[in-house]
Amino acid sequence: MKIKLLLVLVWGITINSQAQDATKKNILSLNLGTGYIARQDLIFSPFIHTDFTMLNLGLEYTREATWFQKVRLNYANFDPMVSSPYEFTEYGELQMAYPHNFNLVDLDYLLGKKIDKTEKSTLTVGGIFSTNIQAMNYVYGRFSNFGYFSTLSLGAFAQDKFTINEKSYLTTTLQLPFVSWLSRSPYLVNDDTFIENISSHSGLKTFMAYLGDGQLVTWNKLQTFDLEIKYTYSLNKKLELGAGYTFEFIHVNLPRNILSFRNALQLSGNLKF
Amino acid sequence: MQPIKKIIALAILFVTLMGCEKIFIEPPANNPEAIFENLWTTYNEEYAPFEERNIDWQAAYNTYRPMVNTTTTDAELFSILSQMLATFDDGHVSLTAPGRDIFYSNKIRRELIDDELFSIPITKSYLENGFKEGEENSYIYGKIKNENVAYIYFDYVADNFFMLNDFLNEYPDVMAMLLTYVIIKGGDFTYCFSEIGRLTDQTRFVFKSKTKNGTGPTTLTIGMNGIFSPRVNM
Repeated sequence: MKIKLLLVLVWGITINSQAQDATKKNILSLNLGTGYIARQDLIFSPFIHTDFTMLNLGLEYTREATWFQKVRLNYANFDPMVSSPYEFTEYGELQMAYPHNFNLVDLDYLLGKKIDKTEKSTLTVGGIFSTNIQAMNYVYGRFSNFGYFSTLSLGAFAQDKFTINEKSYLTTTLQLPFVSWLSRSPYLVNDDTFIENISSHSGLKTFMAYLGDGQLVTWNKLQTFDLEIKYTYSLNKKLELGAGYTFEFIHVNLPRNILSFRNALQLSGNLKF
Repeated sequence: MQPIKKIIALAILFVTLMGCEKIFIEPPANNPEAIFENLWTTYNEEYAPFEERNIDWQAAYNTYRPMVNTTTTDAELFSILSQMLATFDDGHVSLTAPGRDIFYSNKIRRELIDDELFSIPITKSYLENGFKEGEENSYIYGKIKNENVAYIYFDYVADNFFMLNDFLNEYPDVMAMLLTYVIIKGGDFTYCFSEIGRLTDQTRFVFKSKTKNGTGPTTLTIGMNGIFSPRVNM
């Protein structure tokens, strides 16, 4: 009797494991690739700064169960300059003018539900909480200015997952923030509030002070969206490879106009579990 | 939508998004006249203390603009812009260009007037052995030989200014202290807010500042009061 009970238990565990293997709900993705930015920020310069980078990497966790959830972290670094780095002298001593430096961090959380499913296509919609932290160093020959741009946003997303065949699919995702807490460098880079914020000389306190000096804006003041198109190919039940294109658009005119386009091409490796 | 139509639509969108740079605001053109106009206009809109420094910026335009035309060379343009910026006589105004020596608007800084009056080696020779110094002479402090006087020098004002605290702690019993900024390369005055507090016994109003927040001549922020408050020994 005991042996029979044990066999039933083993059989039950095996069936359950196989069922879980068939419907892996979790995907961990590592994304590596390139990026291209074109940005004009009138607080710092009237020029359009462009740069191509090989440093554009990200990590994603996706869970597709009753709810669709995704956490996405991405980092990109750009070094744009309107000319090539050049030499100049100061009292006859040789100096070098270096490019600007942009560090861009995105952290997004998506929560949604599948609302439409056909034989080939699945549409998922929901809400997003999106964090966009950008720290810049604008270099003007012999000195530089620190600049920041940050948005904490709530909005919506829509994702269409199109099954090409049994091994590959194409996802198109649009993220649209509607209301944001916008924090940005002052009108002429420094102002009294900025000076008060840096007086602590503590990185964290200063960062929190920058965020605190922001304002609530909606789509009429800040226009921004992210669009991702990604092709994924399944190697086996656990591993997938992907190639994706992401486009980020930012426009705001508080306190001065900034217009920014960012294109990224990334390869990804997915682990399903 | 059929798969092929979806892919074509995405491809068109992709190409469109890649070509969005055409909607930027036109940046300044790269010719002598456009560069002159942009520099003059930028200062006209963003420089604040014209009145305080007694500068007639429109008169500067009238004087120097006729010197610039389509055939003006880079060297000539640099010279003209330098002459115009010299009217500010402002240590925070400078002109940098590839392959050239920086032009400083302030005459004393530009010509290093009386620069030779201060010497680091001579300063060190006046101090007792065991004086402290920072990297690249960012600070130097010690006790003056044969005197009950402590001395500290700052080359600029930044995180080196925290050494003021160590200096004051190391020499609590001297008769006098000498703080000097003979050759000052500017810096970040916010470091003074905390450290100078050791040198005052009461809250003191030091300065008031306003910043431009618009293109008009009087579009300024409300203003900030710079205050030093007493600070206990750290």
